[in-house]
Amino acid sequence: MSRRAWLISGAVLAAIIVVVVAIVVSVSGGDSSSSASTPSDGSASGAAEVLALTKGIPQSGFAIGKPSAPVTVKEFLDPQCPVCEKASTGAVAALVKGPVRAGEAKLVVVPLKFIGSDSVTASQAIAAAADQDRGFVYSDIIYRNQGQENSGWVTPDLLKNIASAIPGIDVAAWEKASTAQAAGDAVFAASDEAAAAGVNATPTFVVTGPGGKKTLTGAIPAAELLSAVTAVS
Amino acid sequence: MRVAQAVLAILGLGITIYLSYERATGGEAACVIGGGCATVQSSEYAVLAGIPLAYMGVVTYAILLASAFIPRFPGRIIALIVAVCGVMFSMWLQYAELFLIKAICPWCVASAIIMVISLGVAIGRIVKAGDLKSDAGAAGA
Repeated sequence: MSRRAWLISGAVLAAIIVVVVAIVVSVSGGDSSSSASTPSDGSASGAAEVLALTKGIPQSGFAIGKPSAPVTVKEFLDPQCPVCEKASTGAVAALVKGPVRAGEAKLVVVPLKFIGSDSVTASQAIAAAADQDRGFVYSDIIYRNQGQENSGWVTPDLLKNIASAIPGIDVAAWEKASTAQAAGDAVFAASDEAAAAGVNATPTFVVTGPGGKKTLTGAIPAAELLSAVTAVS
Repeated sequence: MRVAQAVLAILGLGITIYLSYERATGGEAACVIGGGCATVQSSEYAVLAGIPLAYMGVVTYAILLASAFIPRFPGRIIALIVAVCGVMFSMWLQYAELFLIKAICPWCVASAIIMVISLGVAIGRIVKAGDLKSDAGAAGA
């Protein structure tokens, strides 16, 4: 075998070893951080966690937080968006625990139907919950049960079980509202609002306050969202 | 063959730059076939050692493109090593899509196909130049 052939064989072997080691190290180190967003069999999970997060905070329509709070954070989301699911347990949870609970900011969710049919059904369910001032809690529990996009994971059973898990929701009224024309209209209105605001990705956070306005998009760290709230306060 | 390699690298760059942009902005990659792009892109398997595979893809295809312009043996061996690494990472992601994430991202599949062809071209350059035969340097391929 020529010297070049040896060199080629050695280099390829080294490359293979480096890649295998990188994959093995990454996988063995990454298991514990895996998000548990497994599709539900119809039972709603994560409700207790969301209710604990929001306990005692005023809610109205799609909003959570003191209505007179000086800063408004509007989150354009899609119930099927995996990045929104990450934000739900990251930046959004930090926002609710911090400035929202402190009365410094209120958070308003705007559910969109970017990804597909499951987004429409889930967003209508959120709109129906918002009729009973539980829009945020409902959307946050949906993320704890998120399945593969457009796989049919948004089942009537799942939606009803989420509604049943939220204290204060009249499930029969919610069920009726979730399939009513008004819920569909609310989802279309949300899409119009997103288009008017130039939103083309989810999640998009529009943070508005006396100090101005900031728009953040995508998988943002909690610190970035909290800094934006401080900056516009 | 160097032209073929450059064309493949440009195609791969186009895909990975698009996926990187969508990842950086939090957008959903437009899935033309099926619907698992966002699921795959936001999964833990789309990140290796803290670096998204989409970003790694941009670097990989950029090096592959550059190697097409490097003449003689150095260009050929760089292309081969980069293509071997690229194919292995692509195969890992395809395995993860099929058996772990259970969602398919057509963009990632397209990139994997381009990478496999690129490896074939890189091997072809080595064979055509006679690098495996003798110590005599060969030009061109």
